Amino acid sequence: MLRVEDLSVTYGSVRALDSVTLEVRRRGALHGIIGPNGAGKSTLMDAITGRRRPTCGRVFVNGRDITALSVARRRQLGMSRSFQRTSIFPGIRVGEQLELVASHLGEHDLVGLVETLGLARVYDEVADKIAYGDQRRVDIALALVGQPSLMLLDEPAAGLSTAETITLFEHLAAVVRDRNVTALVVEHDVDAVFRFCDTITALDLGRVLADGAPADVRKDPRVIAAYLGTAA
Amino acid sequence: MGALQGLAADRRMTPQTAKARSAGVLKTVAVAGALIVLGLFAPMAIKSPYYLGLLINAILLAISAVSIGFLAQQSGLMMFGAAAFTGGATYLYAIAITRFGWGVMAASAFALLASTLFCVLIGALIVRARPLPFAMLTLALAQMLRSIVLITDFRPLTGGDDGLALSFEGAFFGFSQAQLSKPEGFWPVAWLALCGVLALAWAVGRSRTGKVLRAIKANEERMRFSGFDTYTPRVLAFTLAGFIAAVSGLLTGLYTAFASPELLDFSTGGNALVSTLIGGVGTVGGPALGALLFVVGQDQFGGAGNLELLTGIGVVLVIFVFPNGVMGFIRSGVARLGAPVRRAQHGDDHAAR
Repeated sequence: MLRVEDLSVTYGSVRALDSVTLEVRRRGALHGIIGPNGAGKSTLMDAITGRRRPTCGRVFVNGRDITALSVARRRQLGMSRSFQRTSIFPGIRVGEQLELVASHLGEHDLVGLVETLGLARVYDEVADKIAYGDQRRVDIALALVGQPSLMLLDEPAAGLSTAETITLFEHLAAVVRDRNVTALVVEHDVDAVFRFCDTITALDLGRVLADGAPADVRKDPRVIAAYLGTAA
Repeated sequence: MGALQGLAADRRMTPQTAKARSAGVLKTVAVAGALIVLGLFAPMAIKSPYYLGLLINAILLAISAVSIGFLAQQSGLMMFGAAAFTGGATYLYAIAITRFGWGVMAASAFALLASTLFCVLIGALIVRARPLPFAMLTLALAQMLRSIVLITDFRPLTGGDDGLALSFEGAFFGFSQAQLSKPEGFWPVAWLALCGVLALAWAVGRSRTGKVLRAIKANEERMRFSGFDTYTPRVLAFTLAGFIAAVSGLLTGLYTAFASPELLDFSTGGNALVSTLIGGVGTVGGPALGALLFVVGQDQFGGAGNLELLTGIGVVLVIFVFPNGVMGFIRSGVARLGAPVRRAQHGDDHAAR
């Protein structure tokens, strides 16, 4: 599904990602990326999706090397993403923007997607006038339109309450299962990640600390020392 | 949930719904057609050649302003140097007539075609720029063209400081030069050209391309991450805006039979820019209304003396009082007046359900 080989990104003299290698094989699964601030989670998302050019390394999706492809081309090939800061189309109605992207990418079940994400009641509202939680869901809906095979979500629950986070992850888990899409989720809410994700990668200082099933990652002493602490 | 059911219903559009929609479009086209035909008879109502000439000046300015407003509305880019495309087209037309010896129709087609190709080239280079650098680049382009026109070595082609006076044989869509030089003779050409560019800008704005352009304006990065090419539509919008400006330039050449370096000056593009701000960029017709107000205002201020001082004060006041332009003010007023009616209809709909 997704294979990242020796991916490195440097900002000047700072090595934000240091030879990261990871693989996500299962379709229809949630894969969590966790780690403390500055671990390189968002940089990893940016490098995989083409927002930032990696210093070295390669990204493969379904066996195809996409490292040199443009962002738009990656999206057409089935890789989508949402952003840490909500990225919707302000000033445009929710329905209009979803329909525009859906017609471009050939989405056949926009109605089902809107219903699953609970966006029906804001469908005719201007996107930047709706509640923040709804805006996050519009962001995710824009990433889900067009039946992508791989979706990367950068802190989808940022700014949401605990209850809203749980609801959002329930929606996500349902969508991922129903639409058979693999989702990589960067999230600071560790409880939600361990509860909903099928596999997890823990990063610290741009390197992979641990990778595997939630129970294994939770017990990993390096993850506990660097991120989870005694609270885990 | 009603909205979503509406969406689903739209996808199962019945022949009756399609027929109703076609009838709505036909009604709009019929009203617009009637207004266009009615406008053709304006010279019968406005007997004074002076005021008719004033209206023609307003139309020439309006077409330039529509070009600026279209680009601003669709792409969020403000063109400071529209004079490059209006004045450029006038010069191309004049050069084709006076230097190449072409007929008026061939020269007109050449002016529009060459201007459009020039817009594609310039657009391909500058549409990636951020709004302010973009605005300054267009301004620099106009100033550069003005300097080129004034270069002594190019004088045999451009006429230098003296500009190019021209006369043509034959007819432009049946109009001789003598007819086109009079306000009442030129009126149908100017009026139909204005209606044409307004219809073009309106149609593109409502098309899928228009929706894509506005989404790019709202969030370009999200559009790229939605699989869209964000570059080509912007070049297209710029080209279309340049083409509209070139129509204004060509009309200027046909009406005045003269191409002068002042047409490429900042003040020429500046007048169109100010007209756009006065009318507002939220609608296709706003800049045209702004141009009318600007020309009428200039006429009144000119009569009172202190033209530039009074124009400046007037423009500042209008922009201060109507931050969304005069058309924006009118639209919001109409929307407020229509709100109770819509609420009543909405209530009826609920009652019917």
